[in-house]
Amino acid sequence: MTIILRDRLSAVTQIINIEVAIFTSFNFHGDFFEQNILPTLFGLDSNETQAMREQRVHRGLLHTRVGVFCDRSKIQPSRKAYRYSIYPIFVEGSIFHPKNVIIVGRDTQGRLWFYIATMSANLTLSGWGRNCEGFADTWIHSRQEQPALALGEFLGWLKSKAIKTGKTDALEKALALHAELRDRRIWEDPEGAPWKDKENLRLYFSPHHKSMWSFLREQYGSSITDVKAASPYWGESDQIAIELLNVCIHLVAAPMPPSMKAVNLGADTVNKLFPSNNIDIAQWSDDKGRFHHVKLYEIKFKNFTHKIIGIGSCNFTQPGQFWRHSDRSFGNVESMIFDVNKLDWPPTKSLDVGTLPPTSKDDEQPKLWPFNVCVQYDWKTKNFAWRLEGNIPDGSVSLNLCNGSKPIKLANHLRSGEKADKNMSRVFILRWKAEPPLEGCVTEVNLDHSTESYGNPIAAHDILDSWLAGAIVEPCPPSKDMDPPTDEEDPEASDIGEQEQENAQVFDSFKFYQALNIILAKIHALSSDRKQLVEWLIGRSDSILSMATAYRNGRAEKATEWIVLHECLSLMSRHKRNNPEVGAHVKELEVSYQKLTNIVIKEIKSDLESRGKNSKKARGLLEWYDNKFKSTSSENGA
Amino acid sequence: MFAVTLEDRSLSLALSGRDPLGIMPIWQHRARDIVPFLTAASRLAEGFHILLIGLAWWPVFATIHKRPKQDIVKFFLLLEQAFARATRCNGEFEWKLPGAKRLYSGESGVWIGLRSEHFLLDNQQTNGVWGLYRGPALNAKLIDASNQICNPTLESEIKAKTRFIEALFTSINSAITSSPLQVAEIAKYRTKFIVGALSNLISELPFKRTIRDNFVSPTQPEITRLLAALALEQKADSEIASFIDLAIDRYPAHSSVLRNILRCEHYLAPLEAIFEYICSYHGRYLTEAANSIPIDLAEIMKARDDFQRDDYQRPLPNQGLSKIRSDLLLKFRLDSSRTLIESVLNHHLEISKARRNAPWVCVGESGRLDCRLSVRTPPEEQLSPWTAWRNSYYIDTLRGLSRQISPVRSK
Repeated sequence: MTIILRDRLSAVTQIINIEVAIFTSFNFHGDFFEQNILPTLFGLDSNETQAMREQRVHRGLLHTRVGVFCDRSKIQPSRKAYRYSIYPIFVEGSIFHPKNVIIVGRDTQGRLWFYIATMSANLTLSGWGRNCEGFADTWIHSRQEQPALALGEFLGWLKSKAIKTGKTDALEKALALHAELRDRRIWEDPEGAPWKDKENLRLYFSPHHKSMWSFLREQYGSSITDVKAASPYWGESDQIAIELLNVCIHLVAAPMPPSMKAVNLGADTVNKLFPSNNIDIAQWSDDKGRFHHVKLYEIKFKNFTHKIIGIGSCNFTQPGQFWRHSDRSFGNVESMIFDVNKLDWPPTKSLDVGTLPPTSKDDEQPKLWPFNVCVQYDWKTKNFAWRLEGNIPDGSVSLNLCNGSKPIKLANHLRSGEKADKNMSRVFILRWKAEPPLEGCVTEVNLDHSTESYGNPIAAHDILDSWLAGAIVEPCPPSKDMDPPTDEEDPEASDIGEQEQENAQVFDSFKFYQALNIILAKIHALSSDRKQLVEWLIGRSDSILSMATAYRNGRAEKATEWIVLHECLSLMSRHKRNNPEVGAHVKELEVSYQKLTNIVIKEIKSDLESRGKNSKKARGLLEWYDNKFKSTSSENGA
Repeated sequence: MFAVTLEDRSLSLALSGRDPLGIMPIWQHRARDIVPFLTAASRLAEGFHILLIGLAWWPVFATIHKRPKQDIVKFFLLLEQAFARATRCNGEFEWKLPGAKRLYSGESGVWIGLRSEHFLLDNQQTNGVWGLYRGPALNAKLIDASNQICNPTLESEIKAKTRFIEALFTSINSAITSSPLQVAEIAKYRTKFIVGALSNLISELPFKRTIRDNFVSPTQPEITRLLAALALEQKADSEIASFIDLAIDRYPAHSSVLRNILRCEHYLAPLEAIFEYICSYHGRYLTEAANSIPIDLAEIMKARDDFQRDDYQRPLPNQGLSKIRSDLLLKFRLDSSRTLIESVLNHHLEISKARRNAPWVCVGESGRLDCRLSVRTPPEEQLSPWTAWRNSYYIDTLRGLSRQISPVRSK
């Protein structure tokens, strides 16, 4: 069977209402993930403009918690702010290598489902677009199933790697939902497949087992007689040879790009695995230059009737197959799904032993510093927290949070810390001795308290026009990815310069209150629909928050800004209690509002003085208006 | 489910964005010498018709139903839906404007509505007629910034010839005012008068002369009219380069303007192909790409010198950006294939940085090229200034529109 990964993800998202999505990967390209995977997760039309797709992704992330776990050495974060958490994982002397999609949600009958896919595809364009990858998936409903147990343990293991996790973040939410799984099985999964069909399905996560082989023997209760395995990478194999002694082995190697001539399987591995010289090896046939990154196993057992197929992240290497491959060291974090299943293997061709390189290659081992620094930012407490993982062999490390504050010193005796500060860039820089500096990715937690601006802002006049028109169509934000609008662009698309110009224009209070009235009625009608309410308050490009932000960042008269902020704040404050996402922004707006009030009072004072009036009454005057506004707003909004 | 994956080409495209070297402002600036108002997306006379009809009738509708001026967009989107669904209902010809996919997979009959699922496109306002055709009409001064038709005679003529639009007013008003927003039914079957009236208008294009006079044969520049006439002489579209060569022969008085187009493209097109060549070397070293790229540096140098002779006299809003970008391209080092490739790559990195985007391709930690796109090696002719061609200069739009509304066709 063949699939396009994105089509499969799209199909799954249409089956259940997604509450949480967790992705694991070795490599992670932020731009790729944000531009391709997240839009698919939220069912977006690929014909949309990039700016609109981004806007809708931001809206989706308001409601669905997303977390990405990947190896700390292979992250390319994007420069844009998105409301999801990236957890760089450090496993001393080893790598974090599983490639999973874990989706949690409810079907139309409100039944809770966990969907899990194990793959060989990383969260990169190569993984999801170019390579030939392996893919296996299943639905979990009952805690009695082995995959449910394995997944619960794995989520717990992931939690142990984070400094802290927010209660509403993806991982904690997934764990909480996992605890809600029922004992009883359901006859069919949401796609209509009977549960009996998957009674032999097993989910493997390496940190909970000695090795993939020991796991297989435990689960299928019999000794292995035949193994057919395909892998792009090969390596040290002493322990594999012992494990598979007297097992009939057939290996398939992958021609490596760009030449697609050489393979990574070396003579050393072949000699160890085929001591009797009965060598049985092949390579993938050429598929228009595509790299076969698939890790595929077919296993026969002595007393188990069926062949078992395994697909996931385990390369045919010791770290790939053995979690404990010696007394002291761990293998890679890996995941696989095994099941009785038929799969047509892609075509292979013969591989001449004489053409093999002398030694096998495992290109996936990163060459990085032997320690790691984990940095988190908690939006709830507005605190950074950091932790040294492993030991610094020599000297100390300087941690720069890239927010203008002084670098922090870390050493083996100074391993962790915490401080309140602003999260400015979502990246940090580490310096160690004369090594080139390393860029790391800050893990953001408690994202429902984030006050970050997501997406490109639209101009105040566009928001006003949208409100006046009943906000039927969400205005498309301008794209910052391109040059300023050229002949090809929508002539209505405005850039930031235009926004500032607009804000400098005369404030039409009649128009503003007319628009506000329309939007108040709209929001009032939505008060029982939390999801939509939050979008109208802070999620849409023409939300109440967007209006407040447009004026805060603009060049309007301070009195105008005060009026707009006053109204927006008043409206948002009514909904802060049940919506922490809104509450976080209200807190921030209140600070601005207070500062602005003082400025406006000063302006009134100076005006009164210039007219020879008593300037001491300035504050009282504004307070009088404030009270009048409050009573009007509450009457209107009731 | 167990499976192996297939290549996902649309995925690569979605990431690709466009214009990695930031040259679009340059060729667009140059294109305005010959096609002053059209854009690549405003290629159908139907779009201009719906725009003009909508704007002509909006003041009447607003007065009758006392709708505020901001309802103009709602009115227009609903009218566009009525035209589209009537065309489908009639079934004699296809709806060629944006939205066909959703139109033909949706409910039959003629109905209109303002909920997201009623729209012809995810963002009908931006990606439909309103977003694509207003800009060119505004630039041609056919309409003004307040969405009024500039010529009152034209407005009267449009209204006189499309009186049946008034029959839609009640449905449009009902779609705007219903709460919650509801569908307004207009017709179920093609036999109803309004279906024929709306779809016949799309088929007959009664205001094609206005479209022709403004976009295809404007008074100024004269070369636009001449190029449109030349396009009509040709049975099928020739390649743009040979079309311009032919025009230079035919209209020597305009040769300098036309040669500017050639000079511009002779330098830009190979640079874009060189960039693609670099991308296609994903996983390999830059030196390998430099050693194997089949380019003739002397030819590219000649193209650069010609490009430098080009002038930027005509003022345009984006002239500044166009000039800045062309100056950057002129600084490329052409000492060797290696320096040229490095210049192209560095230029792309600068453009990406300015846009705050991750680059499509860069040199990774291992010294190998790391490209995030699936790019095929461009054919050799795309790397030579004299055979490469990439950009349309809106000539395609001009030729297509010219044929669609030619006086010959109307006979």
